[in-house]
Amino acid sequence: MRFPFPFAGAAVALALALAIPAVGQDAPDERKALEEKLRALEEKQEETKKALEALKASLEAPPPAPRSTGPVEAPGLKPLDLGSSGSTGQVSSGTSFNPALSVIPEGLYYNDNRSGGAAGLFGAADGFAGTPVGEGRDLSRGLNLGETELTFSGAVDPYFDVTAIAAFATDGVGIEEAYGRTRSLPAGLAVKAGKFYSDVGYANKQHPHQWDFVDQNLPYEILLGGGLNDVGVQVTWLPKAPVYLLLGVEAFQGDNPGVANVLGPDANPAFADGAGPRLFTGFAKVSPDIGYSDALQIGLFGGRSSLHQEQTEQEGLDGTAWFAGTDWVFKHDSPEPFGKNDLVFQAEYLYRDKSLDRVAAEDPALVGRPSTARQDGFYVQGTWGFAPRFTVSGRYDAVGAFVNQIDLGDLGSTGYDASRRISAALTFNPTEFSRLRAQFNRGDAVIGGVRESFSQFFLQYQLSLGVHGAHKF
Amino acid sequence: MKKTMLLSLLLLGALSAEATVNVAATTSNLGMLVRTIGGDAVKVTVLAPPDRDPHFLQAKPSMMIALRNADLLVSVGAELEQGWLPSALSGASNPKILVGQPGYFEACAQVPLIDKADAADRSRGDVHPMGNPHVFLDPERMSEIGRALAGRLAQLDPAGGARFKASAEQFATKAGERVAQWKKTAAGAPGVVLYHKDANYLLALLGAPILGYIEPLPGIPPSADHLSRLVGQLKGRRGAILFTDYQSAQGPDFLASQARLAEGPAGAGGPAEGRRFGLLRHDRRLGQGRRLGPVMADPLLSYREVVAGYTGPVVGPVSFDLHPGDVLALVGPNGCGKSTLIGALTGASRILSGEVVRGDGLSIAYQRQRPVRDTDVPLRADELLHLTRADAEPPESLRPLLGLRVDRLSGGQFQLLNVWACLGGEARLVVLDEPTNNMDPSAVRALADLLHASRSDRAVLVVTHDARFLDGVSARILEVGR
Ligand SMILES: [Zn+2]
Ligand SMILES: [Zn+2]
Repeated sequence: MRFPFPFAGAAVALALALAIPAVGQDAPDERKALEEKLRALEEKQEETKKALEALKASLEAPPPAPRSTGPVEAPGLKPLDLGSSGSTGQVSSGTSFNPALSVIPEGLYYNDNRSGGAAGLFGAADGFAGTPVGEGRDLSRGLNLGETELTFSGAVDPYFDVTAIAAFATDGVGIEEAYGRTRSLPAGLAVKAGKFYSDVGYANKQHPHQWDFVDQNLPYEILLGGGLNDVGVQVTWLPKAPVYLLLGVEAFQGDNPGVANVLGPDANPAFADGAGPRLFTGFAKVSPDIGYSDALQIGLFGGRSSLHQEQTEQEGLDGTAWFAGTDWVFKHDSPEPFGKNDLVFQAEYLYRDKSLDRVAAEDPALVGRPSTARQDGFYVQGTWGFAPRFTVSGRYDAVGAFVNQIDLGDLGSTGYDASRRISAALTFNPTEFSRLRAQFNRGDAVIGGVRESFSQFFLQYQLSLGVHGAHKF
Repeated sequence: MKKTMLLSLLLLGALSAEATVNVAATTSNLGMLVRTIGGDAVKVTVLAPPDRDPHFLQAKPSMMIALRNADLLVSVGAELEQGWLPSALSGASNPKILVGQPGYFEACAQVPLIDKADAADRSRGDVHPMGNPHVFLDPERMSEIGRALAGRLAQLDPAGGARFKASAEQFATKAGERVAQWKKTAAGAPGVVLYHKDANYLLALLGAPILGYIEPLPGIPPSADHLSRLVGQLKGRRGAILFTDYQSAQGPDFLASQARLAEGPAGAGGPAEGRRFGLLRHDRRLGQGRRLGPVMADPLLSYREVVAGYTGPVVGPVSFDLHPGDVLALVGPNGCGKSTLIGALTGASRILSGEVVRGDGLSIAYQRQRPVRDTDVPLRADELLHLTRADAEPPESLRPLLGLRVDRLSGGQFQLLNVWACLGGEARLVVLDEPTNNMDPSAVRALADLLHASRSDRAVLVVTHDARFLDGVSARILEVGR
């Protein structure tokens, strides 16, 4: 045999000489064969001996004892009598027919350098002033009691689950969510009906106590009225496939300050009175499997509202709105205890387009003229578990980020600057059931072309009592 | 006629394709049980790897799709997975595997549980009010769960029923044998400190007393206060500390150093006492699936009462089992017969009594004590690794060597390279004979790194006269001779 290169020959020789991973190549073959033979003989002898002994024993043995159930009948342990295929039941402390119950109170300390008015600045920012936005967190400087969330959930029958979440505030009670969801539809289909948080985007369906910050991100707060939560019906489909792909459509009554603000003829006789459902959305989420420790989910979503109305002192606007966006989430789950070195990165981009007509105005000449708003926003945020039970989070968010254009037809079109914010939070989770957080925000909102900057400081505690809540992705 | 035949053939094809039961198991030890009992008839997806705490996981889309595709969900239950499984289940939209359906199987629902709390009150920590769910470390309960599982699999795949039942019985028999052996090993053990209440079933079975818990309350990390109280209680006593890969080593290390418990291989108690409770003492890192899961599966290699020698006996009788993930060190002074013991495996010495049982299709990589070295070889280290099919990504400590010619390496560096040539390949069992020979201290440290980077589905058998380098590796020590 000839080797094309001299050192390749040397290499093979070396590998042979080293006999490094001598897989199965243990000893000279001949000797090995002999060893094998010897062993085989010994084994055979052993077997014969055993067979003889067994025969002897069976002659002398007492009648066989009743069937042993194996090692499980050790003192103190008796198998449960479950029939042949085992129990399909669940060992649960959630008592049989009562719904699972949990109570989550929240308290806050708040201060800012704007005499308590910092939170309202974005609603007054150029491009958004006078339009309906989310209510935000209505905090006074000093001590606040947040909303106390009361959750009931359980299975109604084999076909439906129900979840009802009430939010108790000092000034009243609201229904945050109340919906039924099917349990047993075939083919990966599920239908949800009631009042619920839409599954568009990633952050939208999170309750305030699931946020990584005290406050909602800016694109949701300003463009989606604080988040899409409405009365409606949702159908989702998770096809049987090697990769997670969730598709869903929703029909909502259409009641959201950002995209489906319906005031009706009562607010202004010129306003249309449309029947619901008026807001339709769709979403797709895909999550490639990238191993046990990491998860990535990418989503696309959008929606259209057939009725959106805005009323200011000078005018009434009536028309339609649509929005679209994309959400990206990456999570790293470290094996270290208590969330140490866990990572979450998430980012969403949201674009909103309102096509409105001026149906009423102080100046009658303006009536009938269009007013179109094309605006967007995004946030990027990350959370890192830098020590067991401690996380640090950072966020940058902006509205009117790349587009902030109000178009008044032949009266011209105006572009505005972006308003933005940067936040940092430090969170301590003594257990899964309690949380303490400190957060600092620094931001500037463009008002009348001037950057109005502000600082905010929050301290927050959240306590969760009752059944162990499930951690949604 | 032809058409119908074709059709029935197609149907047959469809049926046999359908015969595989897709199982989603929440933990790797349950995955092991399903695989052991289901054999080829099941396809198992494990949702949580063994180095994760099943109490604290997050429902991920990949879990949801595994559950979506599953015909059977096998979970631990009793609210162990409460924080994530319900959410993953509801996201999976698969009615076949909901509670009460034939596709839902909860291990804790098949056996009686201990430690039921009379009141569910979280001021006592994240308690499991329905009883201790950590049944997967109990071989007897696992046997019983295996029997129930065989019945369930038979319900889903009636054709395999008899086979499942036989496998479950075989598993129970093997577990029973091992329990007997463990009981013997653990007899008279002075006691165990647990991190969490996760080995209570096993310790009750072995009759080993529990001396305390590293956690002050379930789910609460150890406080300095609690640890110093433990130290006070345990000072001067003997015992072992058991904790898993996902539990912090800080508390156990502190306790071990302060209370001078005999923890780890370098215990102060002398070898005789050490061997008396070797199982508990040496298996200090009781990975949820890495240790006790595979322990109940077949070992890769078993020495049973082996006496080895050449013309006459040199060493023995020695017994040990090697499971995937194990690192076992045969330790003893030169001339004590360690190499003769290894020879019994490779054929270099004779087995005079007892037996050496290899797992099915076991591939062995063997690193000889004194590798032959040519003086002038124009071959780079990475080329050598390639030639020896050590294709795994080399660990950090080896990377600087990769571009160098092997004949320019120091003796210790060459030795390291040889070790990785074994560890970086596909063999399920790696035997290293005196790997620290020729090594300076930094190479010895690197060697410990290499062992640490070893794959969890293989076992490593190390022969050495000096076990100190194994301090950082979760190795078992078997003292030979004396
Ligand atoms: Zn909530
Ligand atoms: Zn537990």
